[in-house]
Parts: sequence; structure tokens; C-alpha cells
Amino acid sequence: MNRPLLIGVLILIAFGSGFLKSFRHHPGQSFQVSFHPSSVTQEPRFETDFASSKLHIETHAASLVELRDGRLRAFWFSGSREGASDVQIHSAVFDPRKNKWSAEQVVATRQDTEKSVLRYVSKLGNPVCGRAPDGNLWLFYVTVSVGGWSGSSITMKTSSDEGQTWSAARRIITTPLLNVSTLLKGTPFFYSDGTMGLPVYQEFISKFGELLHLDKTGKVIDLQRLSEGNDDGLQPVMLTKSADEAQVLMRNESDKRTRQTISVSTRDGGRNWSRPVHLSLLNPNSALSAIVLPDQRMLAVVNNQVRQGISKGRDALALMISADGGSSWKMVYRLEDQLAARNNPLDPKLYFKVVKRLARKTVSGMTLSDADTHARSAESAMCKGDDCGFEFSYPYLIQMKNGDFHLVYTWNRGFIKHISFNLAWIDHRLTK
Amino acid sequence: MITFTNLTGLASIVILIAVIATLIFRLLRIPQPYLTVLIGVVTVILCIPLAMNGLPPVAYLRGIIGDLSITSVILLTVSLLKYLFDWRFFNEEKRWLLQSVIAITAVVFYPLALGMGYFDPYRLGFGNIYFLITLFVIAIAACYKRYSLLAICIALAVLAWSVGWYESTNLWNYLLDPFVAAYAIGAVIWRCGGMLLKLRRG
Repeated sequence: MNRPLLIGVLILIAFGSGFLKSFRHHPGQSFQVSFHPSSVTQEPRFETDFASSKLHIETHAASLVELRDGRLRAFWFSGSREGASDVQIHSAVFDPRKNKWSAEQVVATRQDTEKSVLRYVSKLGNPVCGRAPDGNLWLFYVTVSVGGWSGSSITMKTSSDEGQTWSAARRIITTPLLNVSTLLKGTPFFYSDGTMGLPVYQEFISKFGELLHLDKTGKVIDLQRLSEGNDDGLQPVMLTKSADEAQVLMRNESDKRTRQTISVSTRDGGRNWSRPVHLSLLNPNSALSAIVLPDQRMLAVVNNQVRQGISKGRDALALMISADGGSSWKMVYRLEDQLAARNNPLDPKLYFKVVKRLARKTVSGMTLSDADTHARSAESAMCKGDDCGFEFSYPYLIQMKNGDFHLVYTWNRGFIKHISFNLAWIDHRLTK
Repeated sequence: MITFTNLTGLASIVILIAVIATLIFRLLRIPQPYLTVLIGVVTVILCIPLAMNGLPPVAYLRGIIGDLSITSVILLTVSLLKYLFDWRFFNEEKRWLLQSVIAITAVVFYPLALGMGYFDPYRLGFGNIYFLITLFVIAIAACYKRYSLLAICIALAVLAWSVGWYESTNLWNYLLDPFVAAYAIGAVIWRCGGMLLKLRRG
């Protein structure tokens, strides 16, 4: 056989299998809707505590997933500081019947991840968990080999026993340039065929939001751009309103003085997305979390703070509601508010007192010595010399099947705070 | 246990290291057959896991540059075979077409894929039928015009993608990587510079 003929045969075999793969490739394009209506007879309920328990370390970027038995599993990263090589992905389980968090367990470390993916890994970050079509838990987290967070890629682990044990890690390839720099923060969502969607974002050269579509085995089958590099939108949060309608809210990364939450929407099951618009909801370049209620109202947790005309900082956190698709927002409750301390920075002594009071307010019945250790932990993370600040950031809100809401967020970098409430409490707050 | 895609990914890095080592040893004027033996020893050493964390040295490089595209692997393998055994499979004169196609594609593709505008060409790599048809036409045309290297690079990249050779499920990761793009752009600039110089002299 001569060479052109051989190459011709190779081309036919290669493209034969390529076309076969392409014909099998049909990413679903409408969404799965799963609203969890709450009982109208409920009493208003609002409870707070801490999900994390380790002291004197930095904790950040918590997320939640509901377990089959009605319990709740939280994940976050934890280590000597954000980006340090000793950062691990931690997890704990909340039992609503006992109203108690379990001890922390380590679910991923840098060392076990690099052995599984057979690549050097320098640091870990942002864990997000979802329940896969096969019923297993899929844990996604960020790994970096070189550089800062813009060098991130996504790694995945699975668990068939509700998070007790985890599989070896596997790398997900999402970009054409050295597989950098995809990160994630938003809650997973589902397409009508049961496959999972993951809101992700890029941080290398330009910043923009994307939707990653995974098949039933966790392989990437599609990646859809939501904004472009000049839109400054990142950390998308997907809000599924119906099979065809969805809205995505994004953190505003721009350097404008008054930043507002960026939004894109679809009316055709995600085939086409609108150009980004700015909502009235303020966003000081910080992560937000949101969900859609069965009556189509949107509930969001944001650092919606503005001070002297500038939206910046993460020292106040609020629960907001919108009944008109995000055009206007009303505050349900101010979850945290330490804005006053920004103009008059606290010295470590005063800061210690304030944080101790906040810790005791979070956990009813907390002993003074426990409050002391909590305050010391927060102080070590948030005080630089004589300047201390507050941080209430990276909220992650979900609604359980029984209708209850659970929220976790970074509390002064030292702990993950957990808040649970129900619809009756929201309605009660709105009538006040 | 090492997965298949980890093995293929590491293999691509091993080939890269073997070519770099060959170039260095050739500069040091190490004669055959010592050169081949030395390259063999270097690649084996780089694949042995280190005691400190159980990772082989190639895994460190893989952490930084990722898995190389099939195009890169083919070009590196062709170079390696030429340097070590003087096997020449392709007409070097016709390599310019492959370099030009890669350079033009890279110059258009990377800015768009990295966030310039709303159109993301990287999305086409997840099995878009029109993208595959375009590649098929280019491969057939290249084969017909006897540009074998271009036809083989496209065909093997598509074959590797369809059987899941690497972790990536996107065809672009099999066709192109930043290193082959940089090589092709450099080669095209070099060639154009040479042509301009000739024109000026002529």
C-alpha cells in the first residue's frame, strides 16, 4: 500500500469514530426544576451556630449538600492561611434533629490529590458538592499547581457512602491553555436529562462566568460562556425558574465605585443567554448566593453594603428578597453588620471583646472560655498589627427537601457560621 | 492505581523531556550509541517516584504544563526518531503548511477562547459536527496534496479524542497546545523574516 492510501485509511478510521462520538453527543438543554415548598403551618424559626470547630486556623469558602437521611454535609477549606500548602478540604455533618454538628473530617489534602492526579499540586481551594445522577456525591474543588488562583483547575472526587469515604481524585479539563484557570463557587444544578451543570468562572487574563455541563459519569460534555472578559462577572450562581427559564447572578469584579450584581438570563432552556445587565442589588466584588422559592421570589445573601458612595468590604451581610425577577430587592434581615468598625478600626483588645460577644450571640449557651478561644482564633486571622477587621463572606445557601433553608459563610476567616431558618421566619420578617 | 489517562498524559511529558535531553546531549557532542543509552537512562530516572512524596519528576512538569496535544507528541516523536536513529518520515520542505495552519489557528483561537467576546471556539471541541466536518475536509485535502504530516496530525488527534486518550473530552486539547502554537508562530515568523530578507537582497 502506498503512503497516501494508508493516510487516507487512517483519516477514515479516525473520523469514523469521531463522527460516531459526535452523533452520540446530545447535551440536554432544558433544566430540571425541584422546588421544595414549606409547610404554611410552621412556626418561624431562625437558629445560628458554627459548622467548623478547629481553632487557630483560617477557614473559607463553605458549601452544603443535603444527605439522603435529611442531614446536611458542609465542606470548606482550612489551613494556616488561604493558599498555604497545608490547606485541606474539611467536612462536617449537621443533624437537624439533634441540632448538632459532627466533628470535622478531612476529605482531601494536597498530597493525596497530587498522587491521584499524578501532577504536582501546590494548593487547594473552594469545594462544592452535588448529588450526581447515580445518587453518589460528587465533590469538586479547586487545585493550583503554579501561581495564584488564576492558575486553578477543577478536581473531582466521588463518594457512594454520603461522604464517609471518597474516591481517588480526578482532574477535569476545562480550558485550552494549560488547563488554567477555572474555579467554582456556585451550587450545582441539573438539566432535564438528569445530568449536572456546574457554574464556574475563569480568572486568567480576563474574568468571565461559564456553565460546565457534565455527563452521568462526570465527564465534561459542554461549556457555555455567560459573559465575556470585559463584563467583569464571576462566581456565577444559577437560579432555575422553570424548564426553560433561568437566571444567573454574578459577582461584580469591576473597579467602579458602586458595583452592582451582574445578571444574565435565558428563556429557551439555556440555548441562548442574554447580555449581562446590572441589577439594583449592590455587590462589593464579593461572592453571593441565591435560590428561587416555589412562588418564583428570589432569595439572596450578599454583602450589599455601600459606604460613602463606595460598595466595598465584606463586613456586613444581608438576606435579600426580590419578587420581580431581581429588578428590586428588599432586605429580609441583616445577618451581620460591623460597618461602623470600618471608619473607626478596632484595636486588638476591643476587637477581641466584640468578636467574643458575636461568638456568644451565634451559639446560645457558649461558655466564656469557648467564646475566648473563638475570639482568639478570629483575632489571629483578622488582625494585622493594631488593625483588626471583620469579614462575613462567601455565603452558600440551599433549601432542603423539607423546605428549611440552610446558610453557611466565612465568619472572620476563623470559622464557618451556619444559619438555619424557614419560610415562616422569612414571611414573619417581611411583615415586620 | 495509575489510570490510563494519567499514563498517556505522563508519556507525553516524557517524550518532551527526551527531545530536550537529546538536544542538550547533541550540543555536548555525545556520540551514538551513547546518546540513545543516555536518553533512555534520563527518561527512566524521570519516571521513578521520588521518596519525599511518591511523585515522579515528570509529574512536576505535568503539573505546570499539562498534557501535550497529539500534534505536539507527533512532532516531538518525529524529531526524536530523526535525532536518535536518523529516521526521516516526512518531507521537511512541506512542514511549513502545518506550521502555518497551527500559527493562524492559534492566533485566532486563543484570544477568543480566553474571553475576548462572547463566541467561544473552545466549545466546538466538545463534539460539534460542523467543526469535525471542517477538520475532515482539511485532512482529506492535505492527504490529496501530499501534506502527510498535517493530515496525520489531524487524523490522530481526532482518533485519540474519540477513544478518550487523555483526560480532556475537548478535541482542541488534542489538536493544539500553547507550546506547539509558540513553535509554529516562531517558525512562521522566522520563515517570513527569511523571505523578506531574500526579497530585499534580490
